[in-house]
Amino acid sequence: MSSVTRAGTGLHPALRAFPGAVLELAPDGVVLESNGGLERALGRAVAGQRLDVLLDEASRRKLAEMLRRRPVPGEPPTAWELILEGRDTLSPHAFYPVWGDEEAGDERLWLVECPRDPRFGAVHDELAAVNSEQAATQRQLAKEKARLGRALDELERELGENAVLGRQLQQQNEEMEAQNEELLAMTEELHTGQEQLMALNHQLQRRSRELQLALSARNRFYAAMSHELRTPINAVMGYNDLLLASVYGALNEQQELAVERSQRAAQHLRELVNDVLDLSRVESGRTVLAPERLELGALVDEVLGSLRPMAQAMGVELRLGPGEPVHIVSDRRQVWQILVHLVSNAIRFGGGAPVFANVRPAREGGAEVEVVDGGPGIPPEDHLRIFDEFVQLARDENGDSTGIDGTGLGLPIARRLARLLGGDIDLSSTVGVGSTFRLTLPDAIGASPAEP
Amino acid sequence: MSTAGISTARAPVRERRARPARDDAANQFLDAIIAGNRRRAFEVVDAALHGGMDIRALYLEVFQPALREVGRLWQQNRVTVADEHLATAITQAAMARLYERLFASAVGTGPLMVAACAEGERHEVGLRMVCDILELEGWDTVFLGAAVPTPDLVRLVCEREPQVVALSASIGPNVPRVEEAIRAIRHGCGGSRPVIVVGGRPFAADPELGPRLGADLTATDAAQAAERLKERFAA
Repeated sequence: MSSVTRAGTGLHPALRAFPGAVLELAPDGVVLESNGGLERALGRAVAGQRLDVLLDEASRRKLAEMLRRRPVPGEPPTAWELILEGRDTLSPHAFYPVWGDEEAGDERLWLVECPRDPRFGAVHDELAAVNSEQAATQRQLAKEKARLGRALDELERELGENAVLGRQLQQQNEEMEAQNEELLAMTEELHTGQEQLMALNHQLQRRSRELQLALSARNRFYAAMSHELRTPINAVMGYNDLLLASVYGALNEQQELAVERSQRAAQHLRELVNDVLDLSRVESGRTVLAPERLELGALVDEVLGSLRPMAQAMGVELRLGPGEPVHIVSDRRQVWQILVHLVSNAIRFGGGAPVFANVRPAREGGAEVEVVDGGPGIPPEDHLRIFDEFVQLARDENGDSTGIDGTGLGLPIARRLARLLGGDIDLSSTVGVGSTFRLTLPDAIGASPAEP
Repeated sequence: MSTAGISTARAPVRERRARPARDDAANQFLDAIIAGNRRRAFEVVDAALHGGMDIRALYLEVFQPALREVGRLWQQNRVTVADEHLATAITQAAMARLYERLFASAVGTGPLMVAACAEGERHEVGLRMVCDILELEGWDTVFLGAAVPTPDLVRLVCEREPQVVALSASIGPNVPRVEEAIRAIRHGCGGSRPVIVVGGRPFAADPELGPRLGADLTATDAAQAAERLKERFAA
């Protein structure tokens, strides 16, 4: 490298005044001469410095390439863009390279900048800013459009759903109206039914009153009739006794038999009348209870004793089962009567088998008396019926053999009395084995009778 | 855009190389934008979409390599900055044409990111790509564009309270603007403390530069930026 080229020869005056930067470079890239254009751009001197240290990395490589190259004859000149280190890559400096005459040993390289209108930068910046703003706005608008599109879709979907819901609601409404009408019709029917029921109720009440009146009339009739009947029966029986006692002279055998028959018939009649009286008394509620402390076992024993002659006459044995004393408070006379009915029934209809009586505390509280016979038994269909008045089950085959017939009132009276005392009578029976009547009585009763 | 004051004759741009279909699209697109042929560039994009390429692939495998190639061609003095500028403008227009499709497929329930180029910074296409790719991933992004004044940026960040603020600079002199923006966001937006990600050539050249300025993340390109942000918010 010659000192001549290193020193530089000074730029041609035309190049010194050139509006773009003009640089004269040594082959190693050191700036030999400058027209001051680059100094203006950089704000400092550049002569004697390597140009590449002023350039950015990519431009450094381009400069090295320019320094290596030689012009190809006939090829049009090409500008090379170089960017100063730290400068915006959008604002390059474009240089036309001019190589020295190699054959003459001139290895210098001149870089002649393509001059720029100073307004170009401003216009370029302005346009770039507008372009950028437009792009960002366009992006934001597209985004908003998409968002609105989605919102619109959502809205349409909701509208669709609303329409469906509306239809459903309308349908439900119609169904409800139909149901309402049905309900109204049903209510109307109910009202009609209610009115009918009320009318029926009135009728029933009237019937009930009439029945009560009829019943009490019947009871009054029974009482009166029984009383009126008892007096003549007593008279008949009294005269029979006198006849049998031969007060009116001795009777022959035939006469005696006839009077005895008359007497038995009168007794039966009196029994019937007494029972009717009892029944009407219970039904009319005129029975006055007299509670007292009773030992039930002893009472049963007494009843059995009083009925033993009748039993013996029919060859029936009466037995009281073993047991602890059972105390209750009740009406002695009524309990006695109940027991008489139950035991005499057992004797009468027990088919000659022994009759057992058992006394014990009841499981459900109070006391119970069982009267057990070994008779033919009562079929289940008759269990309720035998407590009805004047019902006697068919037993013709042994009916009159004892001469003591029932009135058909014993069980009804016994049950009524038992209920009057707060208890009851029930029946268990097996056909061919026998029957058990069970009287239950409460621990105690009050002084006044309950409803009959 | 053809505001180039510098006009030069230029050498043929590209050697023919055997490449698969995807690269064909990239090459055709590159040819179109170098030639400044906007319509041809759009046709290439439409054909790629028609052929089944998705938007993400268009961004990462067509637009990004094409723009890098333009930069390389400038270094070889085969294109001028004006050509490069035009190519970028056409690419941005091509991206804009995809927006209808891009935002329609985006769900937008992910994190919110505000993205801005530093004050004075005019290279915006890289940051815009990051935004669009994250948008495809379901993020909500606000792209403020080139040369955003720091006070405006801080005001928006305080108002929207994004999870992420992305800042970019392409040359050294703009790096201090990024640093200023980071400091202003850290001090100016009391409660909210967004993740700040920085990108651009200076940050790619020096991976430590971002952390030194107070940034939480940095990346060398759009795909990496999107990937790192997704990782950060996946947990």
